[in-house]
Amino acid sequence: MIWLIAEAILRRNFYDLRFVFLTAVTLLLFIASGALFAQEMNQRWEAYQRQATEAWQSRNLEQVRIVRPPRTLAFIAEGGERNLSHVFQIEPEHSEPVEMDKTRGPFLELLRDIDWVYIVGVFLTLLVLLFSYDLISGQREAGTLSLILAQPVSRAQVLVGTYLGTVLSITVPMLIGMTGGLLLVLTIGAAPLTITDGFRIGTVVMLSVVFLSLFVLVSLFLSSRTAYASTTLVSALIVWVLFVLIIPNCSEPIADLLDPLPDSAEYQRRIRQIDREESSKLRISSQMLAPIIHGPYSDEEKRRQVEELQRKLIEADWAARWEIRRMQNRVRQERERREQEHRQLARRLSRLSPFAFYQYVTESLADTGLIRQQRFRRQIERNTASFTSFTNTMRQRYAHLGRSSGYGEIEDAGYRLRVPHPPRFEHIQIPPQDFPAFVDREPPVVETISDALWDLYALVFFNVVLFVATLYAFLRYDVRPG
Amino acid sequence: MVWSIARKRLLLNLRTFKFGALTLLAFALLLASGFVLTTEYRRRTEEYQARREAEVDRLLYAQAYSQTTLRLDWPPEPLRLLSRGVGDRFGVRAFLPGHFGPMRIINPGEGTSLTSFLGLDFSNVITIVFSLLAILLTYDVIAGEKEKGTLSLLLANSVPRSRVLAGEYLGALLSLMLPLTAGFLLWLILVRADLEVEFDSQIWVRLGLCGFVSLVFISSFILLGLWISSSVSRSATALVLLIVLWVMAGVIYPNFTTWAVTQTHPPEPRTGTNVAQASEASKRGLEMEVINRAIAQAEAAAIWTAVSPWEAYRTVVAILARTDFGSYLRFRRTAEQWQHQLEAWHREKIARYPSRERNWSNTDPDLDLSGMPQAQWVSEPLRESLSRSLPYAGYLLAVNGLLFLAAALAFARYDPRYQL
Repeated sequence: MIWLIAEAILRRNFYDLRFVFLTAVTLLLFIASGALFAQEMNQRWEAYQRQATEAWQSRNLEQVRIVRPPRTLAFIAEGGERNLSHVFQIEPEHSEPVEMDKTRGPFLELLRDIDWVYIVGVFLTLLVLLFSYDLISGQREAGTLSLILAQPVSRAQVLVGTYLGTVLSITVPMLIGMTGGLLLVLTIGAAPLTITDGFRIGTVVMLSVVFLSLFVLVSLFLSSRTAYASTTLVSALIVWVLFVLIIPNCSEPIADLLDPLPDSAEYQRRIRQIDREESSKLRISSQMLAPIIHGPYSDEEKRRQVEELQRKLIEADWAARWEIRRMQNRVRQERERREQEHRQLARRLSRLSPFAFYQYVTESLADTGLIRQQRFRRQIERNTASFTSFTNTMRQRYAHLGRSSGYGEIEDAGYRLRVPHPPRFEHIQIPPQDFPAFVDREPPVVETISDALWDLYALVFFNVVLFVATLYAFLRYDVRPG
Repeated sequence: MVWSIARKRLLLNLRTFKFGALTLLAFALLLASGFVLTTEYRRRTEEYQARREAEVDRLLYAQAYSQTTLRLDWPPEPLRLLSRGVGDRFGVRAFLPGHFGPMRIINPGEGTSLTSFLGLDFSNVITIVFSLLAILLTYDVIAGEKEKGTLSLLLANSVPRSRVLAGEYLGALLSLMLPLTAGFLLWLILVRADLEVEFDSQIWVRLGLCGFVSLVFISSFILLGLWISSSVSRSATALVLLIVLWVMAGVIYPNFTTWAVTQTHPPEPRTGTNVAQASEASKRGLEMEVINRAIAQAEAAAIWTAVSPWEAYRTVVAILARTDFGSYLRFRRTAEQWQHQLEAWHREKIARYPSRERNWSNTDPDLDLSGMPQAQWVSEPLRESLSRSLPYAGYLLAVNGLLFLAAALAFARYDPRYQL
């Protein structure tokens, strides 16, 4: 009996001209998205290969640049990849990679990428509401609901049948669209998709069905709480606007309000101040030489003492530079931590809407966006140690070739004191392949799923809760027309 | 007769659940946006003042001409509360080194926004909530009355169809004007109470114009609703069509167009030239080309997205609030002018005191700073904003006119008989 009802819903939708029209629109959206993304991914790969070659050739003992490869699955969930930096620089003195191209970018601020998450989250959810709002209240108005319930069939069966029929009928345009988009990406796009990618895509498809089923349940719930189909539609639309447009967009301004981020200029000022304060302690002056020169020593003794002083100054200089780096890194880390906390807060706030859950799960599955950026940074951090030890060995080996990074000296009565400057080693030719290799390990699918497990769990949980609520509402529904 | 129909529609609307729910939602959002944006405005003003104070005595200690650089700051716009716009995302501070390097524009307080695509502000609340309300109030005006059988009764009276349509239009407009005016006033009270800034007459004119444009925008959705409602025979079909159009015009079309423009106007020169590897002389030219391309791209996107009334309306409000991309270009142009003046001044001084270009010694006299240009920012006058917003506002009015014609035509040919 459940299947009979589901089949009836399926038939009703498939014979409906609006349904056919909207399926065509869905297919069109997926195809357009696929075409644009395939083109853009090709450009990104080109840019990546250019940048990576440059970075490879310019490796030296002072710095190494690492370029983050673009993700092929960005067409599923772009996740703001465009605005994240792609080039990281490792310096032996820095414990953290420096993001190189943060302030770059054209003037065009993309409103939002039309990826699968967007099409499913904005367009298909609306489609779900438009095709399911009148399933209970509309049938009551038409008088068919009481006829169905006059048959030997329980209300739970009617509800399950209606639910299954709607979910199945929305899956059809989604699958058609996704297949079309995917085919286009495969034919135009230069980057090949691997088996793992296929598995990831499959999981995203299943996830999308779970997400859309949530909206089917919202619609059925509202439909069995209201007497007229038009009231159902209005309340469903309000819920849609809240979940899809308002909550995801308000989370960031509200996070700004609750937890305002300090100005980035403030951090830069603190970094400069550390530099100024610490370096002012390092100034050398002729007064340092005076007690030696005018002291009661022999010339030999004076020379030895000046050399001793010079050695101490260089040591102090090294120590101070390390200290500056350490303190500056601490400020940078603090800033990074604050930004991270801020983003977490914004994410937590956006989780008032199931759209956010869906988006974050899909991003982790496609391995794009912020999550991937953080994972990539952690990998670089792991690699920094090997790079630092390599440069230190090399620097010791080529210590005699180091070039002083600055000049300046003080002279008094024939005794000279040089301004200490650490030697630089950029000019030393080291074959790029001698550097420790950077390993970009793609996380296994299981790991990405476990990252997103809470969001996934929440999606399923909402489904179950809403189903129970809908069942309860429908059991108490007054089916008499009029 | 027009008035009695309008009155009937107004009274009917005021009693509905959707009207109450969406009005409450709009009020809550307007207040939230006002609160968020005044806080943001206050923070930005503090940052701006801190930057200006740091500038005051910088030139006093200049010893060589290479130290006499200028900075131009774009003060936060008070009307950013109306529309966040995109203008200040690309930088609010210009470094002008004059003879000693190219101009640079940076954004000192930049945040990294990754998820939100519509910031919460006055214009967005109007575009999302009020346009939806307009659709929900009008989808069943004609088709719904036909379904109930009241349309043929109404037309049996001695009232021409054009008057019925005008009455329905006026009724819907009046019922939307009520929450719009109330929300606008509420928002204004909150903003005025929360903000210490004085609003001069120009700002009041801008606010008034913004209110008027909001009404024109809402009216276009009312007319769209009337047109669709008098083109189909069932109100449910009208609603589905309207919602699909609404999502297409408001959310999907602007996104797709912007994206398509990034593909048709690629930001990098096509020849495959590499900015990093070019010689110093051609580097400047290439960088200029990249910037010019980016500007062309953004302008093309602004024009193409404005085909959707949502975007046309947002553009008008952003122009009135001086936060649109054009305002940024104006800031950029002003900065460029000062940069040129400073460059000329540097050349003149360096020709006179060649030894002071980059170096100095303790015995040198004070630096000759006479006639040095002072970079100053003058906000865009109202007349200029008006002339820039005119095409978009005109387009909105034309859309209104066309939709009214279409609705009148469709309703004149409408079959009011109800069939099951």
